[in-house]
Amino acid sequence: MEMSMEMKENSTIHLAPVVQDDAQRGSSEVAMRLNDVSVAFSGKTVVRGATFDVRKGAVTAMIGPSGSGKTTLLRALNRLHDLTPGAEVKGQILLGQDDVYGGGIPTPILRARVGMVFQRPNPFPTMSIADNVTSGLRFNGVKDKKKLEEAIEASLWAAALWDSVKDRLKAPASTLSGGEQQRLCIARALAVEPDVLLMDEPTSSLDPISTQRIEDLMQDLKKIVTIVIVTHNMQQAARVSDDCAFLLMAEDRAGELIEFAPTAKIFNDPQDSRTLDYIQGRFG
Amino acid sequence: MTTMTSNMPETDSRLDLQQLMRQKYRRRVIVGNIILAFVMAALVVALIPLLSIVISVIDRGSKVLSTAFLTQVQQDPFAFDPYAIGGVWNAIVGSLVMDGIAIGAAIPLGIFSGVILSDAKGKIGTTIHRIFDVMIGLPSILFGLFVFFVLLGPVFNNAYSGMAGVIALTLMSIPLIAVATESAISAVPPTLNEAGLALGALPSRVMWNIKLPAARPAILTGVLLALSRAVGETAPVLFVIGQSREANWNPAAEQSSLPTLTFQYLQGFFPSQREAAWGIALILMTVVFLVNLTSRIISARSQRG
Repeated sequence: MEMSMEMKENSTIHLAPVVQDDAQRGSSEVAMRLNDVSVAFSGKTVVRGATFDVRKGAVTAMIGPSGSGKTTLLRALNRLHDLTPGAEVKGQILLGQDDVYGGGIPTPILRARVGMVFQRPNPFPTMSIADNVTSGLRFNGVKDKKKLEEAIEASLWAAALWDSVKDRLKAPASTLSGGEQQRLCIARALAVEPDVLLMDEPTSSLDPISTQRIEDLMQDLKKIVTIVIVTHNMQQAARVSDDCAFLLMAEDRAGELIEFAPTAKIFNDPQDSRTLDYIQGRFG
Repeated sequence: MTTMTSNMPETDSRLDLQQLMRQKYRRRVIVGNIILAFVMAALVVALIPLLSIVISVIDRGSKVLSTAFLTQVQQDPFAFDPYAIGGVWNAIVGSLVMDGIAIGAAIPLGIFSGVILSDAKGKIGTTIHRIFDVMIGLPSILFGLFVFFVLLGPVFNNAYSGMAGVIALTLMSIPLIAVATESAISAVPPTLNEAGLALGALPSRVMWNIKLPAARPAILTGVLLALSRAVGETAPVLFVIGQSREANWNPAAEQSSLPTLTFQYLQGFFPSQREAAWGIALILMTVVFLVNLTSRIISARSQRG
């Protein structure tokens, strides 16, 4: 009965996904602060002037059409775009009090504190399930057996994978299904106990059921880690995120931050007409 | 359906087109069969000499092969006993010792070079890569020439030594293993590299714990390829190892090897020596076949896992 009531309530035609506005989601503490961040590759600007705060314990989504620089901006947060020759970042990114690009923190240490989950599941193929989970700790010099053992159970538990793999921890990671592999990658990222977890379209290669499991998981995860997610899928952003950054490609093909606001506001009452056009599906 | 047909051509023209295609079909089949016949003929032309080599090696080699041939050392036949050729144990030992040490030395040197190659971008990396490519293409006798003229005097006191052969074979194997390692590492998906770095690992850690293990089957294939080449090489060792008639487990002593003994026997005065060359050829062919089979099994197993 309650279900049908709810459905009736929501049955008014919304072009944009409906977002319930339960105002205070996440804390007001800042996990990462972006201050006029621009990213260029070999002198060509790809993202320009992004300024927003990633709130601690919240899920922040970056949405926008292809080429708007969402993934580039995400990869600037853990300096992974350093791998691309000619990459350059201007502006300031703070992780807590540490200046990410101002020499405030060595890059490997930064990356251990800002974990990442990729578009396609990429467990280490030569390692077992357990070794995948502990890999980050071992790479960072943790050798204590007890600590590693604890991390296996805790991380797999947090990634909602413990029950299905606890009897085959020594099996190769490749024996898992795609959705399980992605949750293993989440467990692997969680094992080093990061402050922030970056997710780059984490469900784009998964089926709808695996996608839903990861989305559900994110709601539990944000109790222990701040999440920044890039997604192509507006409905996903509406479902999982608390804050939302909308990026769009400007005339010179550089991505710009058009609007940053709580997700409910972005989807129900956007301030910029371009945001409205995008969430109503007029382009992108 | 109705919306479809509105854009389709009139029925008559469609029938014409179908008629045309039916006529052309016969021609297409005939042309296809002619091309196939040419390809098959080329295959037969290529296979006949290959098969005849294999068959004659097996046929004539198996007549020579015996336990004595495998376990006795070489003897020189003489006029009163033209069949007293002994065996090839000295050459087997020489090949085992020299190929073993050469590959053993070339594995770390080649793999480390390959690791550095895969990381070295820009001019220096490309230059080293080119040098290795050229070295792989060099006629193997040049390695023998280098050791003979440059090293045999100052390093080996102008005495024949198995170690001189080892150096020639090692120099020849390093670029093979290095280039195999480099391409194996490059074939590791970049997302694994990113995953490792994103956990806070140093690039050297990612190389050692992620990229090299993932590349291992392909590297092993390269090592086995280098091994099967080293086993069969005559030219690099011919001038520098001497012609030992004794089985020497000491690599620094004068040595013999299966390919050089074949060379020696082909020039032999007695027919029994020339027949013995077939026996050695069969041993070499079997060894190379087994090495190749092993590398096949390794790469097949890695693809399944």
